[in-house]
Amino acid sequence: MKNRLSQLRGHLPRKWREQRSLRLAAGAVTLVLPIVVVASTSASAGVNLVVNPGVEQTGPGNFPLCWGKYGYGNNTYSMGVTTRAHTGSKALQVTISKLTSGARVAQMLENTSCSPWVTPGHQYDLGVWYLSSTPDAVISLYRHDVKKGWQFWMDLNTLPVSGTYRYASVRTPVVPPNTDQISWGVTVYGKGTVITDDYSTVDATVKASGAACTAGAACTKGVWQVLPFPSPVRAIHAVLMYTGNVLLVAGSGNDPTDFAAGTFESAVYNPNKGTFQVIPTPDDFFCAGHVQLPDGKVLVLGGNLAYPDAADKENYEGLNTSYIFNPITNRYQRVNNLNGGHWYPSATELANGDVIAYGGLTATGTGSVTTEYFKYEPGTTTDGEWLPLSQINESFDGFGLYPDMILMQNGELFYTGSHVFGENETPFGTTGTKRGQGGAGILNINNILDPGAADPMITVTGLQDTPGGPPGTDETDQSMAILLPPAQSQKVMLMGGGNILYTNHPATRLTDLIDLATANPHYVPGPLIPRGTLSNGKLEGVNEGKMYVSMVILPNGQVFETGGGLIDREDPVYEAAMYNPATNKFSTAMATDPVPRTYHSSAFLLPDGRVMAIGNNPGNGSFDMRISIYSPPYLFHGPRPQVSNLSSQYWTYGSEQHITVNQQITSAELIRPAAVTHSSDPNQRYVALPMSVSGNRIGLSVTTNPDLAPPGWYMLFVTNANGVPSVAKWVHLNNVAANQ
Amino acid sequence: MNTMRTMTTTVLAGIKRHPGRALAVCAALAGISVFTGQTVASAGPEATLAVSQAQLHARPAPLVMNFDGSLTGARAKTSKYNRPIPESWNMDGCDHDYGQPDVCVPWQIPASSPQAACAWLKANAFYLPLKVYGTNRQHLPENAEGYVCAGAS
Repeated sequence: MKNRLSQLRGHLPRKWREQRSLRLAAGAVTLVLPIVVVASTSASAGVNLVVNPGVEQTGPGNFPLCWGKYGYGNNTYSMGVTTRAHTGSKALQVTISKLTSGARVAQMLENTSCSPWVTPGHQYDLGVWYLSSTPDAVISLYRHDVKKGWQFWMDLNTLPVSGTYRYASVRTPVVPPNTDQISWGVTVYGKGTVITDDYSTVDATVKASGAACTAGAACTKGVWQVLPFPSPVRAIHAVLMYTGNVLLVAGSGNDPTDFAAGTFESAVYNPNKGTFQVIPTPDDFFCAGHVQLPDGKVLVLGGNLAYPDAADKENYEGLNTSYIFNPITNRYQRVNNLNGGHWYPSATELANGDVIAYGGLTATGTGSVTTEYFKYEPGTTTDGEWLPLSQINESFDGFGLYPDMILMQNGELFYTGSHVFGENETPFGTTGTKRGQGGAGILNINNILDPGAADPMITVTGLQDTPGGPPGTDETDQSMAILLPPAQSQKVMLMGGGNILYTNHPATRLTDLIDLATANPHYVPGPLIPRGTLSNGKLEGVNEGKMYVSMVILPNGQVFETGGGLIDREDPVYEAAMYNPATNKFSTAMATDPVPRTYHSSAFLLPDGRVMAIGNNPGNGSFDMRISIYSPPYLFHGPRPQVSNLSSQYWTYGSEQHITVNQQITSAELIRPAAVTHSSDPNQRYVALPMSVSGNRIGLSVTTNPDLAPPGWYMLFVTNANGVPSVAKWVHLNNVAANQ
Repeated sequence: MNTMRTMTTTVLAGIKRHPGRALAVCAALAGISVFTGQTVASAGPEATLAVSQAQLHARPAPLVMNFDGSLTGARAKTSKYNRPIPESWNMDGCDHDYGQPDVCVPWQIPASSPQAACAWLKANAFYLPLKVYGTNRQHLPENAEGYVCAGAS
């Protein structure tokens, strides 16, 4: 982000970068001001924190005081003052006449005199009057971190084209800790002219209700409930569907007897009714990959062709079949085969709705080097097809098992380093590569459908070595990594893990953080996982953490981590915590799931804001069929906000949507439903929805970038100042408006 | 109208008599406008910008933030040859010599002796004895029927 800021600053004249006394300059200018009628510049009643909001006061170069010229890229532009003002006699004008790349913005100067001073925990309404001939204009927001300096914070709402003056407003997210100032402007990233005037920044903080929590320990720890009925199938895979039902997939369920009998199972669980429907399952989806397609159907790929054969020392073998699960008919439908077998493949949805898959074991038990690509074709009987190898730009690299591939906002893939089983063998590091020297990387897939073209891969460093661990070994086996909320921040956390080849070595407490918005991203150490309790009641050692940990993004923007075990398939760790990305800290001592959750366990968010946990498959081959439900503390802190009206269920990128709520809220967010197994869900993400607030009517600005929020069904939550979320509404995000 | 004219005359007379004070008031008002967001109003027609119908209905392009510019880190060496990677049959950390494939006896049972290994298996709720399907790699105590750790069951 610093890089972006520095690029935007690139065209700022040096004299404007220097600190200057605004008071003197402004005082000089006021001497020549006419006496005129004072007009209100915004609908807000609070104090406007913008200095020189009407850009009437100009300095050297005839550019407004406290405003700077920023931008980057290859484009032809002009930036200056125009007389086409909303009020007064001056307005800011930015014109891009030729554009190959980049953007331009006139923005509040980042210094102590010019940028609005703000308070952490508060929110601010940003307002601006504008004229625009381009749809490619967006309010961009920066924050000053007292430790790190100026940071890009977030792009907020896009401004519709308007030939007459129009007012745009947007509410900032809650100002994070360590922030003392903000700066913003209208970034133009397409050809056209944008004229802006009468800026405002007004404190719009919604105070917490102060509703007393009377739920005892649940007020701070939340509470677990073990359901009185078990899952009818070994729930190794879980996919939340837009119907609100959960697809639980076992296949043979790691049961060779069922495999020999050809008994493969799935079930659809209805969380509202507490009912199950067992689904005919045509193949062994044990250790398959899965992902929701844009239309909400579930693409299942690969699975188990064979269990190990001790006599012949043969490995697991991967299926090459693939199916679509329809959430309405609750039936699987076969699609064309993959190019090879995949046992433990990952699947990541791309911005165009296609799916890319990596890793796993082949039909002969070897490590797959085949990248698979599903071309999504809505309206066809199978929703698309897997492309043949000849149409894919194969690098023929191995990426291990369930390699965690997260889609970045620029369309590249980030291999987090999180994977399953053994050493982390990828182009980014092999056996002997110390954890800090590789193990993660960025895959450029711009030319994935152009065989022979260059698609570079860059190694990412910084993953930590476990203190006291086997030197030079990977410790990301059965860790979990997610794109932290909000997705706009492009930060990833990798948590825990171990190495099942070293049974005596316990799982790690380490977490690693990476900011993918920096110029050369690299991992840095995150906070340690809080120590948990073992089955014998003892506290874990100081370096002991857990593998098989589950990370669940919650609507309040925090991450709930739960479950896990100390070593391979044994020694469950009873520990749960909330990680707050804004503070980079764990809130420890959350209530712990009374059911052990190690190998083949998962946890995921339900539309009602609770967390569901399933599975546990210890080394003795048993499987825990119990289901646990966690109610986070936020469910005990007063009435939940409700979305009483939704203008449309079908959203397009760059659109503004409207909702009506029954109480004041502080945020709105889209959360992608889970498709999780083996602590792996590369598609899990939380996308913030910038809001414009007018009483209980809220405008929601939908991102223009499908790489930030790939098409499909999302859960829309709103959250109030107590951190209490609504029950989700399902909305469909796509490139084209559709009424399905 | 007369009232407005009277007020204007009074203001102008005041400025003429006390030009210093007038300037101070002017500066103060302007300062307020600078720091509070109240700006001066313009007379004249409302400003507009020529916009075509096509522009009016155009959808915004995806905004991709230019955080990283280009990939500048160490380039990973890629294979480019379609050769599957050999994987050991214990890659899941399990010694499948013992028990059905769903049973996962650790490849290295964390114990100092075969007897201690059986005790470890028992403590971790393995269903003993375990049948040897492959070879008794970890030299666990084996009976004539090909089961190990029978004494620990």
